[in-house]
Amino acid sequence: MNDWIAIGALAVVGLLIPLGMMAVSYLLRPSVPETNKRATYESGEVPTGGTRVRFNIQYYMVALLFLVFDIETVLLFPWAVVYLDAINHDAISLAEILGPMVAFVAILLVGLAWAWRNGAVQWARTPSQVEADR
Amino acid sequence: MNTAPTPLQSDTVLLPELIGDLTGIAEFGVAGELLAAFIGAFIVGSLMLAMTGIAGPWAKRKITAAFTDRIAVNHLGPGGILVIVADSVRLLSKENIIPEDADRPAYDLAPIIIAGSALLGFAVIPMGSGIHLADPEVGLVYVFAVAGIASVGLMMAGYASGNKYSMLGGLRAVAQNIAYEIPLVVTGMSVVLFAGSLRMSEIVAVQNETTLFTIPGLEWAIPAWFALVNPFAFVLFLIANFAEVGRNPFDMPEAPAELVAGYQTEYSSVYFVLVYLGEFLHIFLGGAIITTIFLGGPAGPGPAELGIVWFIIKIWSVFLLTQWLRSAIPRVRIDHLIEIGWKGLLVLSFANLFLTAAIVGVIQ
Repeated sequence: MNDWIAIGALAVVGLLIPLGMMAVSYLLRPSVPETNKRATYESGEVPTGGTRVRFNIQYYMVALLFLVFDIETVLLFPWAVVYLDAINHDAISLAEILGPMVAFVAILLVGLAWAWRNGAVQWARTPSQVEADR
Repeated sequence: MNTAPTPLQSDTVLLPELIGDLTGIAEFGVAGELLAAFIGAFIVGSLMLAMTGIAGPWAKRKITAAFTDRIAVNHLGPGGILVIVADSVRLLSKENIIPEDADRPAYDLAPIIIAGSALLGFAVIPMGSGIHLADPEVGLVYVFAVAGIASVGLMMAGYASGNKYSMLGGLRAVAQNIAYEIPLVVTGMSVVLFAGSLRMSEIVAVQNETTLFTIPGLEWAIPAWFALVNPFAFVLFLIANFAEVGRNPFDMPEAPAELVAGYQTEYSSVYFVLVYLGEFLHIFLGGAIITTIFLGGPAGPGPAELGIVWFIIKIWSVFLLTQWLRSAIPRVRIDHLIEIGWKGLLVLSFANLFLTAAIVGVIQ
């Protein structure tokens, strides 16, 4: 039995359940259109300005960092899977298995330290930093 | 432990095969296989839906009420349990108000993605008593990958609602998810170092085959569940998981006091139900992952047929813990949240990974 057939079946079920609920709701719910009912919610005030607001650049910096580390986890997984077999193999020493990966991650952590120093993962500036800029 | 664990997948019977053999539809070739897979998927889907049905409208209220010394729902049925039926009818029959600035296809698709992606993860979770839909070789990576799809749904919901609160809530949700995704995956990886496999059935089997120690006097053999073997990783994983499902102390994306309801502000009626359902499914998926890789999966005292009972007890324990924290711990601020993720948990999870690797290397 192919595993991916079952996973595909669950994907279809996972799609049918929300669609089924939407269909049931469509049959049950009323529709009473009123003026201003569909206005954007802003705590009861009349909405001001556009909704595509400018947002903090930090979201972008964090996403970039994520990209780097996400690719790195992809490279870590095969290593983790073969690790136990490699350890049990007499011809390979521990340093040979662990060393390269430690070096690889260390390079990335240097990158993280650099980003950290430059404030990429810092959301707000501390009072002393604000003071220093004056 | 001087020998590598032997592959064990031969003795695990998956749910579609079980259904195929029991009902005899396995004889119809590919069509029978497909039908069995669909019946299996439907069973797993209904089971998880039933859990969230109990947890969302009823258990959550009761637990929060118990923490804050109130009674909560008690009118319909014993202990107010029939409020589940009343609430589902009430929520589904609400008028669906779609904001005028909404980006239509994306606005409608987001709830489906949030609810559907959470359900997809349960395919590879061994739930005991033969309820195990699929057991691919990449099980653990698959479940992390599928759980990550929800971030796309959250971003879509936040952007397409055409509301400032939703936009900021969606951005926060994604920033939080990606900040804690790496610690979650890297900590999960430290389990793979012990198990030597990504296959869920093997990870469970390795935990239950080895005896950690035996309590003297009693005949209780304590199995080497990874929560006991590596408690540091277990705690890290729990913390990262709470952030990933967006629960206290990391419930920033919703932050009712500042962002109304975050990305779900503009969702009403069935769309709200789906978003809410997706969140609860994610809490249970997190619980299922924790159960599988740290708490020995469906194993427990008694015959193996009781597996599903132990599995449900374990995932409900994780759910109870999330509700406990919800009542007991204040929310952290957004800047703290990001800094805890990138400066704290990320570094600790790498330290954990290499410490585990070194320990496994030395004791072998």
